[in-house]
Amino acid sequence: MLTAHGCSFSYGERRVFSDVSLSLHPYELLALIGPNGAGKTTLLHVLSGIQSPQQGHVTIQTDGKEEELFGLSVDERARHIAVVEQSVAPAFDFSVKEMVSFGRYPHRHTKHDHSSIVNESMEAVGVSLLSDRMLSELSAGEKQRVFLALALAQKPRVLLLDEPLSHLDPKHQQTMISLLQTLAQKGLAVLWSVHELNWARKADRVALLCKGGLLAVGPPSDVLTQAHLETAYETKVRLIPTEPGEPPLILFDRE
Amino acid sequence: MATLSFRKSAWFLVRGLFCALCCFALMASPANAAYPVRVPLEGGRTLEMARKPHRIVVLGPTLYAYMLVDLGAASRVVGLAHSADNPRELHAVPSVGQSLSPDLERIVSLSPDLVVGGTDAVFAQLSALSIACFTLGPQKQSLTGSQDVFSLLRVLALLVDGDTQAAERLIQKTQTEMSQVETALAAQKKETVAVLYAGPRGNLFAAGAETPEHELISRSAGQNVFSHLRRHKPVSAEELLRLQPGVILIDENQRAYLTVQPALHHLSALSRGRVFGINSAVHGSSRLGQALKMYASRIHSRPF
Amino acid sequence: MRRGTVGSWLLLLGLLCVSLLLSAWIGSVHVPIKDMAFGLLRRLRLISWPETPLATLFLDLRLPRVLLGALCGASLSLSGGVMQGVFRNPLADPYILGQASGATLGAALCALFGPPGSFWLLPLCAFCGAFLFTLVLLVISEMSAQLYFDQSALILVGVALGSLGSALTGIALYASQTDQANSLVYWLFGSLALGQWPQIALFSACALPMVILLVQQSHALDLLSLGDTMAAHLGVSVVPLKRRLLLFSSVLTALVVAFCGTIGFVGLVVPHMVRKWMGPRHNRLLPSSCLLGAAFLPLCDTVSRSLLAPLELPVGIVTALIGVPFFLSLLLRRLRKVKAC
Repeated sequence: MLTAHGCSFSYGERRVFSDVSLSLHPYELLALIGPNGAGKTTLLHVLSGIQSPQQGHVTIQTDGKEEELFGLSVDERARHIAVVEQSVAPAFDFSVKEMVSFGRYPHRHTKHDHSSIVNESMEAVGVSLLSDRMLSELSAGEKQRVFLALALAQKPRVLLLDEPLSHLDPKHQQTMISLLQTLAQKGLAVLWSVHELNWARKADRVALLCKGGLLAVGPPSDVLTQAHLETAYETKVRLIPTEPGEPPLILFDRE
Repeated sequence: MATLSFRKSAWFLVRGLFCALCCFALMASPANAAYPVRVPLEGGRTLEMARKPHRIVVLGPTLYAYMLVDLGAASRVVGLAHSADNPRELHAVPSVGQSLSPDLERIVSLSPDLVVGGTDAVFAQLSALSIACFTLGPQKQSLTGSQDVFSLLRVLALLVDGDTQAAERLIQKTQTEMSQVETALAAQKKETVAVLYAGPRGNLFAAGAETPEHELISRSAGQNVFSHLRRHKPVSAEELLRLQPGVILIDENQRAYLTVQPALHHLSALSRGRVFGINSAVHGSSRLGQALKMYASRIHSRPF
Repeated sequence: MRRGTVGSWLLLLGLLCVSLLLSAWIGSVHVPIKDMAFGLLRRLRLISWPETPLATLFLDLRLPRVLLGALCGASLSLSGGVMQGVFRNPLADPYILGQASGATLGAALCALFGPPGSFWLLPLCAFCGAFLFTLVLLVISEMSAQLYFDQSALILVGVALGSLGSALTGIALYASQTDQANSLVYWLFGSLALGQWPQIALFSACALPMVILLVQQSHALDLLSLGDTMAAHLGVSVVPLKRRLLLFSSVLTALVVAFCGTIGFVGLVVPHMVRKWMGPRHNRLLPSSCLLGAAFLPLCDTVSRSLLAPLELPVGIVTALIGVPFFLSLLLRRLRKVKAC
């Protein structure tokens, strides 16, 4: 549905990645992993259309035909692709409902029932009861879910999340993963970048970004190998087998 | 307290009326003409006074107030801008607020038939309400000496009396007073003099050439150490120490500015007790005779 | 907490009416209601009785002053609210980009070197000065588009321009050797005393399109407060939006400074008061800032002209006296919140 074709991106002289080709498909949860500075956030921004690559291009399938992402208007892009950033710090204290309703901005000229879509989005992530609470009063986990509801209110076909688990405790991480899996099952193309590699095992596919390129893309068991991980993270890795058919647990050994 | 603004305003907020302006006014209305009189203002405008004004409001600077008192119009002043330096003769006149930001409602409620002074903006506001206003507004030149003061006196006399007789008498008297002082000082050895003002931050300004102070210094057998400057210019302590004037004249309320800077303790005038306070408002007004006497008595330490 | 209810709006409107009525009523001269009413009716050509001097005073001095105060208060509050949204900084105010300094420079140059006696020239030059500084800032921003995304850098450019304006004004004042400095000082502090009907008409004609254009951007402003990246994800063209917002609110600010000098704290304080009450959504914040600003400034002006009558305090001093305690309490509250984190 959303495809990066040979994309290269640099910040001035510093090359972040080159020749990255990656496809996102509906009904799929894709985990993007890689060490710090590999360019995961940058790749996300290129895929979302807010930054254009120096080389290569990104296409999106709309109404059956493939179009250039950068040929779409900003509103159209926002109707197809929603992004949950790693940290959002609103300058003012909005209520949960107000925050989620911001997701309707790309659809502001349509005659949809915005109010019910906002309620549905809050329901989907389980923050309906927090509707009238101020964002500042919420815990990190609740806030993350509100931002997810905001993204869902855009009614996107592609959902990109930048390290959504980083501020969450294990219980909330589990809840978030389940939510993402549910959303993928409903037909969204979901890409989420993650540091904690053992969560990446829950994805349908994993993409490993490091040293300026995609080292491996494929099912978790194909990507989360000792060779790949030691190359990417430059440290000793131990894989602990688990259930048959399940990818192994990953442990980083001290040198 | 007479701050720099008030002191300067005594000479400078009233913009220089040149002799040509005076002549024009005189040509337009000869010395004994009755009303209506027409007086030229800045920017090609004219003010026509249809009849003698009996209710005059005076806004800043205080120079106007002194002039009107000296022209014998004090009893017709019904409103006055607030200033600590207003003439004693007008102390009972109701205040209309400050010169730069007067209470327009109060002015209007006094039903004036002439408003003298004030800023351009106030002029525009009151003129829009059909109130006769006389102001010279912001001009590029200030009063440069006694001739400018006399010109202004003549114009004011024309406005308030319909003729310049009172002004001519006053000018005559002033010129006589000034001549007497000059004659008495004919053989006097010249003293080096500086006339200083202090700005709000204690920075000093000096009266240079083309100022009334310069004329007063020259005519009281003095030599202005700052004659190389034009008008009023800021001067540094260093410059003052270099020039070492024999006598320093400064507003009475600003003398402390000279003693507060440690560097100025080396001023010879200060150590010899030759720093004198002057009342800037009075001595910056049209009372030039009085001013010259005061300058002469201070500079040469003898009564006049 | 329910925000932005019908009751809140009615209360705001009520405040505005009370403020305007009080300001029209209070003055150095007591004008009976009869004179006010008949004067108004006569001006509206509904009656033909002669106008009393008190009615003229009310209609040509007091009423224009009150209305100018309302217009300026509304404009400054709206501009302040927009700046706080654009810069995502609740401490931003309408003068953050150095317009006040530009206006002062324009006014100084006009007063000192322009032809005398032209009353309209001063506001025009002040407006041009303020607007020119805004354009310079926008040009600098265009040279480095990155500047639009770097809030601190943008503010620093504004501060730098402001300092430059002050320095140039100082040179102009020094070089001219005249005493307009005095009247400029008062102009700097801000004054509503010179409100006249033609000015009010011109101000309204210029300000109204800006107000409409700015309020139209309310939704986009909300998104901008989430951050430039999030706003872009949600379909906002960040750079064109910021350009528009800065331009329109600068025009509003320049208009106010041109006619009334620099009146501080209104644009900072009023959006904050409103934000507490109506919430941060700009579709409520901006119009209600206009209403509260329109009520706030005439009241401050009434205090400034009544407290020490016939002496008038510059209105900027009164707004500061009221604004500073509020501003400090806001700062302390923020610091306490940060400490608690």
